[in-house]
Amino acid sequence: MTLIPGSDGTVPDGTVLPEEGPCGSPEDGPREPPDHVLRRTAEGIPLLTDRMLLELVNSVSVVEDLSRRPTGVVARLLDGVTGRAARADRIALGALAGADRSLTAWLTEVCEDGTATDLAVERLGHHLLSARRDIAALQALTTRDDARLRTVAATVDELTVAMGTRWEGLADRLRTVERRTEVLELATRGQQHLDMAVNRWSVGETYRGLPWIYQVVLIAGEVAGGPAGEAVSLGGNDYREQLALRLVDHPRTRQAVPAPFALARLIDDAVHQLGSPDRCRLLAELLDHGLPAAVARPRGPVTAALALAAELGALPQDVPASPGGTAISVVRGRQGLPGHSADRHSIVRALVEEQALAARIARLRVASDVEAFVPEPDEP
Amino acid sequence: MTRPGTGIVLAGGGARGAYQAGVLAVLAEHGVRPSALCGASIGALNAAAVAAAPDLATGSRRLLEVWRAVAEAGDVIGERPGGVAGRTARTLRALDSPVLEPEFVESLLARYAPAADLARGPQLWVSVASAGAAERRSRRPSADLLRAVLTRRGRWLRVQDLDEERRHAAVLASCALPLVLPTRQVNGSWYRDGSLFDNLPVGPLSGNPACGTAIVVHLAPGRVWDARRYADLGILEVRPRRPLAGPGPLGVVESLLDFSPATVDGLIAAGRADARAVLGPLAAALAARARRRDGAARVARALEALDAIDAVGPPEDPDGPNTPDDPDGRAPGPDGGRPRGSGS
Repeated sequence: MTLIPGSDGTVPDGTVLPEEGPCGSPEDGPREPPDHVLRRTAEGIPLLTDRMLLELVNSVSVVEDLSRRPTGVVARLLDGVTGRAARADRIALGALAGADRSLTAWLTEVCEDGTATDLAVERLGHHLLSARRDIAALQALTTRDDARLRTVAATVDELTVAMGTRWEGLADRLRTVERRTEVLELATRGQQHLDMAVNRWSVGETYRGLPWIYQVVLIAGEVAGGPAGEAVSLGGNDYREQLALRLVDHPRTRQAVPAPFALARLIDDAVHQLGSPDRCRLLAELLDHGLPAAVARPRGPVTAALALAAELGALPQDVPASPGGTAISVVRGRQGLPGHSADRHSIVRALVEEQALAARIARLRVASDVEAFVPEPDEP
Repeated sequence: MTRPGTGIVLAGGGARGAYQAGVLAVLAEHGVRPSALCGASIGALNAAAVAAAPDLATGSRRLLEVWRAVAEAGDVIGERPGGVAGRTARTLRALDSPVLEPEFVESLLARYAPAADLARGPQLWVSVASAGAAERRSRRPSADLLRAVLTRRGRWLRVQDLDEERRHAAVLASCALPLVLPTRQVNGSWYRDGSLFDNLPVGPLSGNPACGTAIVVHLAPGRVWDARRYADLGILEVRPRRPLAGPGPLGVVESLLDFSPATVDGLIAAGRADARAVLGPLAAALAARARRRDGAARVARALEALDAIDAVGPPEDPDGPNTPDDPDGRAPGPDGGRPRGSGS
């Protein structure tokens, strides 16, 4: 701090108040920006100079000093005669006036400074209001963006559902195509298998030496258990009519069954043709005779009669005179059918149908066994 | 426009000059850096000791040393007696004090205010009363003194304007106590105690480009002196708040000649106290005003910073300005009507 003045010599002498309020009123016309009002007010504040402060402090000490002048009678008389008292009074009054001026200037500065402070606070309020509005705008933007995000999320959900549905449809269609392709391939393989089975039978590669009717049973079972029968179970083309026709029209069939026949007689001839009991037993076992019902393939009445006749033919003694007739009688008592006589077409057709049905039931059993199978937890 | 610079004016008053040593010490504490010093009589001697120092702090310390030396030399008149006769006898003894010997005063000047150092310091003005050749040779010194008081002829001498060998003569002339110390010749003229011409030489500072403010140190309370005579100066007076002299004419004479240690110490302490009583409130007022203005400046800077931030404006709406609530795309301004960003 220094007592040397002079740094504030540019201070205006007069007090300049603002011509209007800090921000005016709506009736005053266009509002003046608050920053301009504040700046103008701050610039207009009459600053108290160092000299004013100096005079203010000095006047106090001068007046105090002169007020302590001697009060004795002689001294007062002497002061009065010499005019010293009047001069002292004049000096004291002048000092008081100067002090009043300085105080007035100081008070004005303080008041104006208070005005500037009020304006600064007002400005601060505006800034605060502005900040709050900015925050509100940001909150509005955020809220709107939230709504948009929710809309987008809902749209994405709908798209996901639609795409899922569409995907499921496509998957279904793909599965259908795959299934159809599989059936088609299976039917092709079934046809190839049927052709190969019939051709091999035709040229005597299979079932040679067996009676014709047993050949028909075995080849019908072979085809039904192969791809052709599987294709039928999946909705593919039915092979049964084709196989039956090809077997009926085959020369071997016409040779073996030239005319309508009695079924018992035909079976008896076949058992007789088998000859040894072992061959009869072997053939009966091929037709699942003697197996428990749970594991044996289901058999139609003609097949059952053929199997039973073969079993009867395998008896070591007391072989019936007509194993065929006996077998038919037994089967008829259990399952109805077959009749006493038939032609080659009906017998072939019946055997094909029975083998097809047996293969189908066997597949269903396997499928149900697979579905019922529950793996142990530690199994892969 | 107020001129920069501060002058210090020291009144004359004989032994009461010790009071000024206390005042100057307080002025140094407040960081006053005088650009000019004016003195009359003992005030001239004090001013010379300060002016020869590199700064006021050093000068005030030297001045206290001067007054300690004076008090040691003046410790010859004993305790102050109660009666008028005793006081008169004591005063007469004081006239024989070594302090009032010309050689003692000259030795003080030579030691504490070398002439060469005076040339480098602030302006040093002393008031001197004219003493013509006839007066100097007069056999009626009392009549000469009365004539000097009535005519009040004299002048202000700026010590730095004199030749080096005459600088001490000017100071010694100013403190040439009538009837006690001899007159001095400066540039062919004879001079005596400056208090007979101007005991409070503020005149050299009026119109002086080096000074806009004067600190006037009185040595008598109730002095009828009007600072308003010097309208171009801001004047701060340090006036004794208690009498520095005893009652009556004898008390005045006593105060002029009493250089005893007790008196000197008491005067220095009174000077310190009175200076603090004046400078304390002034320093407090100046500091308070400086703090208030600094605070106002800080507020202004803070508001400017806020203005700069607001000038940037709120965050932009990425969808453009048109909204149902604000079809023009401009939010209301801080006053509720003026849109933001429209300038101010």
